Amino acid sequence: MKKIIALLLVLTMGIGLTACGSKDTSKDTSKDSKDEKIEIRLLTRSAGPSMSAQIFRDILKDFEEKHPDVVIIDESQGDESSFNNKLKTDIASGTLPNIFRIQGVSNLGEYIKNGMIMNMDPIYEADKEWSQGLTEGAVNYYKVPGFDGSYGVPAESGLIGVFYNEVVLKEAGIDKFPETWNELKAAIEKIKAINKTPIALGAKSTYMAGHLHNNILYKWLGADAPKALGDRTMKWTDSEVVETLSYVKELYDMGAFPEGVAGLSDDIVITQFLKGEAAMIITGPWNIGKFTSEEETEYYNDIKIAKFPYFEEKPQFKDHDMQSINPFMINGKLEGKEKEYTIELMKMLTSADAAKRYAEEAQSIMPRNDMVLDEGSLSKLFQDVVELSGTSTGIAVDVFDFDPLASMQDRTRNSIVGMFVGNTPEQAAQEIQAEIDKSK
Amino acid sequence: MRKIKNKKDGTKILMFLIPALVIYILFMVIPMIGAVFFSASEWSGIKGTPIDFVGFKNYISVFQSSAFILSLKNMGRMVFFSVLFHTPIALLLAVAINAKFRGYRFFKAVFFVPTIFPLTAVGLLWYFIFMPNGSLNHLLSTIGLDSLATSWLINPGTAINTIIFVNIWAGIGYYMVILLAGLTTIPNEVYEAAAIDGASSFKKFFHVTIPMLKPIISMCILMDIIGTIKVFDLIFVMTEGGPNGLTNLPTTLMYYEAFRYDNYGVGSAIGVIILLIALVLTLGSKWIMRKKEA
Amino acid sequence: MGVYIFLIVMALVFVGPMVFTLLSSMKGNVEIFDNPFGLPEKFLISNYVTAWKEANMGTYFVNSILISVSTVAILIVVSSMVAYVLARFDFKLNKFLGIFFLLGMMIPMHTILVPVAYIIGSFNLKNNIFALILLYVAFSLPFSIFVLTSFMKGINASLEEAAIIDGAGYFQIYSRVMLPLTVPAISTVSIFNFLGAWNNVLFPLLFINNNKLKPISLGLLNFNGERGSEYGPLMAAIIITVFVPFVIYLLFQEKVESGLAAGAIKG
Repeated sequence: MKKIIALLLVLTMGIGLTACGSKDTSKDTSKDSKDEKIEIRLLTRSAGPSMSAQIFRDILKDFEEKHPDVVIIDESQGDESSFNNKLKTDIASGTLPNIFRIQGVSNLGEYIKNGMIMNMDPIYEADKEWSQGLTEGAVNYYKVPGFDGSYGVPAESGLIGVFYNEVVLKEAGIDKFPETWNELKAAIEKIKAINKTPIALGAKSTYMAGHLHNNILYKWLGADAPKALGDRTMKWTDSEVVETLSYVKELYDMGAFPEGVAGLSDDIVITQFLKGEAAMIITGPWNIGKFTSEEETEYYNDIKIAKFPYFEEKPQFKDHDMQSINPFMINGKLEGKEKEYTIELMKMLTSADAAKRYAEEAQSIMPRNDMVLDEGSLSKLFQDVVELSGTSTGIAVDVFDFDPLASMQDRTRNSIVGMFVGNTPEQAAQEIQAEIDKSK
Repeated sequence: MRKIKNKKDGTKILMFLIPALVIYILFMVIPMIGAVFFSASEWSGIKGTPIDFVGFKNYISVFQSSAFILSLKNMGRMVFFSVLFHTPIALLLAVAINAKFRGYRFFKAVFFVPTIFPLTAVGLLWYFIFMPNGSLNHLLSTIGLDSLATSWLINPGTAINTIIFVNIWAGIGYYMVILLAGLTTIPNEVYEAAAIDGASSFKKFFHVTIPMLKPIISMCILMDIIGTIKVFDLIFVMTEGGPNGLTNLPTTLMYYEAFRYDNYGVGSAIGVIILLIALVLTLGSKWIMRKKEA
Repeated sequence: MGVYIFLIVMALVFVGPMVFTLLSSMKGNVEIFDNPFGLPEKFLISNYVTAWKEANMGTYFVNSILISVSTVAILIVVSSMVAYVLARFDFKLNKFLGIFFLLGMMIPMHTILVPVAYIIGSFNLKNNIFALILLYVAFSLPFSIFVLTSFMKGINASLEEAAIIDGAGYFQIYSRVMLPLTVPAISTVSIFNFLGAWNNVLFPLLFINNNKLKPISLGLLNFNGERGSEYGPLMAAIIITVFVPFVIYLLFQEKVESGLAAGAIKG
């Protein structure tokens, strides 16, 4: 008898959970009810403990206070897999959030065709005060080849260059950061001589290997190379592209990376850099907070930024840089008040005021040219990064952004990492090209 | 056992069966049919886009893919080595514990506990030990065995073996406990009889213990095979199938194909292939066991 | 004796990593790398607090308990009913049903991931915990029915006969006679499936994205992805994740092992 009561109790719990479960489902379908609040859902990577995520959440709260008839549901995920899964299930169930983010440009084609992403051009036209403050290069990045209009609002950007530890470089006998490729190689030898890791790279987090290659590619072939690769006018197996892969391999063979590079995650190598065990690290503005924090590193005054070295033979690409551009996309199927509010929220998140907060409090750069920053509250490193970011004559983000195949992100990065475990540059190029050929 | 008397009886029986049947059919059988259907189609994962029927195309491209062949090889190695080590070592542990030395309960607990941990936790735990600057290499250098230190999880020679090791670590207690129970069913008289015949411990083991445990051993091996085929969490956490697909198994490959690259049809095809492999290996082992008995 | 040495070496291999994780969970980031094997300088319980509150491990913990308990409850009720019929009634479809359910044991969860994703999409079952629980139940039915049926078959029929003479109907025989007698097997099946549900990551990975509803195994994965560089709290999170299975093992040690064995041997 007792057993049955226990079982019944638990069954009731189960039924209770059903109620919870279905309450969640009913939320998704209540969008058109007039007396319900208007729901705005967001799916971004701004989650977790970082300052910029907190600012993000603050802005959401401000918006809710300003509009009591709105309830904001922030489904943002900090972890990349969770984020991808969520995005994919949303796409599969046709319940895309109001504001979200998809990496890449050319792969957006399928989604645009299905009306899932809003064309921002009319919005830009209608509110020039807001839209003209956005950096032109960043806005234009989201013009998708083959489609009219712009399909993403750039919300965060910045140079992805080489952050270096001045103290470690001096110890190795290097007074000025290497400007050219050959100088870089010489510097690497000197750093190895004092038993430090020249470049902190953690290729288990494959994006780090990808970013290194991006930098080399843009300095060798220019920032338009991704577009050429994407529309197939250039092949991965072309000799000049293979050369870019060989340069990566050359660094590996020289011992520029930590031992066991393919098995180290980004967290681990960032820690190495913060501890002064590595001289350089290629990363973006999102780590400026860590690099200037006394709690995180004793070198908080000694970490500087420089552009990735250029090739002496190709001075025309000296300022073709890799930058990060993180976009917000708006759901293309919104209507009425919900659409209005969503656009307003988007503008609030990317306004000059927001840009100021992000810069001053989180050391994060929004691509706006109308920020009025209080120089006193900004670290020198941050100011240097902003200044350097403004000197680019050619900008590209990831090489696969203009490739319509969704698998290219992993394919390119994996093949580059493959060179750290035995592949030759030619093999890497063939692997990548094979993926493209397979899909034809 | 009783027979069903009449229709009224039959209806009552049906009531007992219906809840389970409904759940089973809705959540297992129908998806199973769906998997076969999807494996012969192409879908981009966007709601409302068409699901195109493409016949065997997915299967052909899967078998032509070197990444898949590599994952199959990895799976083969994992199954082979798991079976090779899991059951014998578990058997040895079981025999050792069955001797009931002092503190045998402690040992039993120590060996069994890892089996109930979530594989994600196990994977993370061991990643920290095996990573290039992790505790294992650290330990090796403190005791002067520097030369042995390597990047366990990325070195093509050691990567899969390392994962196999962790998989064995996480599962051995399970088989040990089963074998232990089996050992207790062997009556002492049999051992005594063998001892009278002058058999050494060695001989007792091979000529008494193993033959009498045959059915249980074969069941362990069967469960091991199926369990190893399903490994996913471990790889996902420790290496994500890398570097460059080196440590992929069909299970992780399937996840990437479907949920990262939007190739839902290909992903499903891999899923069906995994099922077929499980079926073949299960029936195959049963057949081999039967042959051996004869 | 040689056996002892063998056991001790093996035990070190087994216990070592767990002790290492436990020690690391109370160290600061720098200490974990500089002093991996020693005792922590200060026993940082704060790591656990960080993991539990800030990283939501506490919420995930509660979710997992709810999910696992519900799964087991529904499973036991549903599978024991089938087991009763299969064990006690002779009818044409008996063998067929037995094999029908048994075959399910061979289906890997992966095989049906894509159709499940599609169904979740089409019927808007995202974050629907009930669907998740039913999925777990469906996958646990084969093993559960198998074990319970074999056990029930071994129950002496005389008790049943007595009940029938007293005029008991089938449901009463099931609930008053069979169930109580099957408790040992039920305990084993319950514990196993509780652990299975606790540890499962694949299905939640796919369609539970609401942070408030995630189970702990998935939460751990997220923790690693979101805050992977906070090694101390990460280790603490691992300990929190394995804590419940560990406690269950300690409490039900005998039952777990004997039931495992019983089910295996009878099979």
